[in-house]
Amino acid sequence: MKKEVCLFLMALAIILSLIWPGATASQELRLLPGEVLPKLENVQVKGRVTLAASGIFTYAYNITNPATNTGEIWLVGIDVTKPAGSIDLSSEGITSGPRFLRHSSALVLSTIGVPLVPVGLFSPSNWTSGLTVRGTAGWGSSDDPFMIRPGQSLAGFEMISRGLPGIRSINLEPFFRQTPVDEATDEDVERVKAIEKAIVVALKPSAPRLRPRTSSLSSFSTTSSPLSTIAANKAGLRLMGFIRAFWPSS
Amino acid sequence: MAKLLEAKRALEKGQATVAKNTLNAFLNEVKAVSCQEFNCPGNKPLTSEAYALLYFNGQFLLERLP
Repeated sequence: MKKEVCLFLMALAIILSLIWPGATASQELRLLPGEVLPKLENVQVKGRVTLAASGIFTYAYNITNPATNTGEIWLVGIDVTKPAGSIDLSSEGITSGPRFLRHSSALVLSTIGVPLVPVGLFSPSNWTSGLTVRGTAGWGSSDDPFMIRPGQSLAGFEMISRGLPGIRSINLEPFFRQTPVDEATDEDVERVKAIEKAIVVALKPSAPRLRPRTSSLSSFSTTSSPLSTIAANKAGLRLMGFIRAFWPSS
Repeated sequence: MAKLLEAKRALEKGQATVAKNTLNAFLNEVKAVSCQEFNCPGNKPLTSEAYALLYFNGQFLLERLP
């Protein structure tokens, strides 16, 4: 009898351990009637870089939201914090285009407390750009119709910098449609904040894809690997290690 | 990859010219097998992102070799 009780308790403990994380998550992400968590998977961010005679790189991105998603992308952010040990880059010639949030970006620069790589931002029509307190340079859709909906692609996200291409992370945020409430309480605000934080998609470096028949070099998958999140590719890392070995200040 | 190692070894031996030539060959190879635009109609093995990382960092290094 005692043995049976022990077995029962053990089984109960296992079941609890299996369901507990799910219960906690749903508690944190409490949804009101009519609210749905937006799905954002397999987003493709393609990057292209050009170098001008002035020594300024232009990083251009094209973002594709697959038709299978339900989330509409309205915020895009790229990590531009200055890597430890790297040299200070000049901001000469680094300007931003229309719809760059100059005042809030200046405020971010003065308060963030973390050095950022000097960048200039250019945005697609109906999108704004700016620096954020998270240490990212980002773009935001100015209104509902201009978000990147499932099945759509959008180009025109451009950043200029004197910084060399490197491995960086990118965040994509789907828009969360909140059920309107008569009067938002602090609890409501916290609830929505938690949801918005949870639905941000941080793109991870993708795995290298070898094509030995065509080349001895490794290739990169472009899915979820924008320029700034180049995969931990052998050739790329070898080169970066090589550069670091000889040019530690680069 | 072999070219990078070769360049590194040459530099370690103080053979800067050999290292430069090898690195140049590496950059040419990268250029030849890369897509430099968003789209890659020829299905080349290196994407534009890979090209940017390898080519521009390699070029940066090449410009600073003695």
